[in-house]
Amino acid sequence: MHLSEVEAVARARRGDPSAYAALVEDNQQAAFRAAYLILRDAAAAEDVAQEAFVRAYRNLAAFREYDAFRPWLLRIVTNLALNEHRARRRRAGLGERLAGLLRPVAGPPADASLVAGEQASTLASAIDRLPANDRVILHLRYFLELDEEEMARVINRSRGTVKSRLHRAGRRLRELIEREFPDLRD
Amino acid sequence: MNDRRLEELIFAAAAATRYPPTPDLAGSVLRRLQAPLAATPRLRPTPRLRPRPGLLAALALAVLALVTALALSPTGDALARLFGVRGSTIGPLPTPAAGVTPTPLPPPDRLGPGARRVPLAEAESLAGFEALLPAGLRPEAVFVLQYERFRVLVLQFDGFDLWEAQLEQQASFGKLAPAGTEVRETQVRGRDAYWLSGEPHIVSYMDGPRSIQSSVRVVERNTLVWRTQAAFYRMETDLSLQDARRIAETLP
Repeated sequence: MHLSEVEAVARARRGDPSAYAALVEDNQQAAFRAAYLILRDAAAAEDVAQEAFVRAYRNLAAFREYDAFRPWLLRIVTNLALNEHRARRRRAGLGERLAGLLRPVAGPPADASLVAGEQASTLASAIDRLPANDRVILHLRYFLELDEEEMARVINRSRGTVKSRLHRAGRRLRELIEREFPDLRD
Repeated sequence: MNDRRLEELIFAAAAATRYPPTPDLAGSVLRRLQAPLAATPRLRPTPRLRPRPGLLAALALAVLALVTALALSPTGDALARLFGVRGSTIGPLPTPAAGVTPTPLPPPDRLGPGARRVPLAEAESLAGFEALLPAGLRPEAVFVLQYERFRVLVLQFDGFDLWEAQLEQQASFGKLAPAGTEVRETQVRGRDAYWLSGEPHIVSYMDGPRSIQSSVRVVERNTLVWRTQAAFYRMETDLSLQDARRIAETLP
């Protein structure tokens, strides 16, 4: 079945599960990757993406029919993933202690998913060290390649706010590079 | 470093990023949507129930009456068939009518009244079955609870409480989930399990259709419910689902 997004949303709102399945299929990669960029854990990203689709369905009535579905979905994904990320940080000490008892083998390093050039890998590591809001804005723009309008819908702010947050994140990244990754400067 | 150079580097990092394969989510999402709690899109958010300090006994009785009423009603039977593993029924806490202020839940209670702390060996003797322990972990404290003729073990570890029971055919734990409680299907050792998270939910021990008053309590922590051939388990925890399952998988 191939439906336009507007038609799929309209049919899903009327309770057509196949229409919503089509929306899931069209957007699952973006949702999963957005969650993965924040969590760096495939299983957790899958859980978050699934949860986001369920919540999006439950709230379809609140969705404005002619808006783009993907930015709205990514807003839910991003919020859920950030919540999960914060919860993981809170639980980190206890969770790691228990995990260590049960599974002493260490997991892969945080940047294991990056295999291209050394600079790219180093820069990705630098981005991962930025505050969460800075990381998200950079991921949305450069990794998921959203334009400013879409980003504004994801973070539920104006385009002006998107610009200022991008600028701030870039400045912080540049400062981090100057301070800790001098090899990237040239 | 100028803006252009920085952008080039970020785009290069983005292009070099390898992602795990995207899972096929349509099937799992639709299965969850077909569950009763999510049968139709909501037109507006359901009013949330929040625990408040200062429990009045009357409110606890109201909760108890609600638990019992749901358990006795045909709706409760239907929910019992659709949610939960054998020995555990999960249903939604009815939402108040428009304009009606929801009754506050009692404050969370980790064990409920009547819990008795005893050494592990004594607990096993009282319960009549051997406590089953997660691999590599020893409980910091052990409690026994008695509901009528039935005993339940609660093993407290750093970060989670593990409730163990060997339930008879007619016995079960009933759970009432407010709108803010997420009920997620999952699995432990290939068996159906449920993960309750979000807002607090209500648990009571049901002896057949009857809710045992002393067992009614509000659980604030996330809860993983599953059963094996060996026992019925409930883990109440602050851990993530992933960590909770990792521990649960080590139980027989």
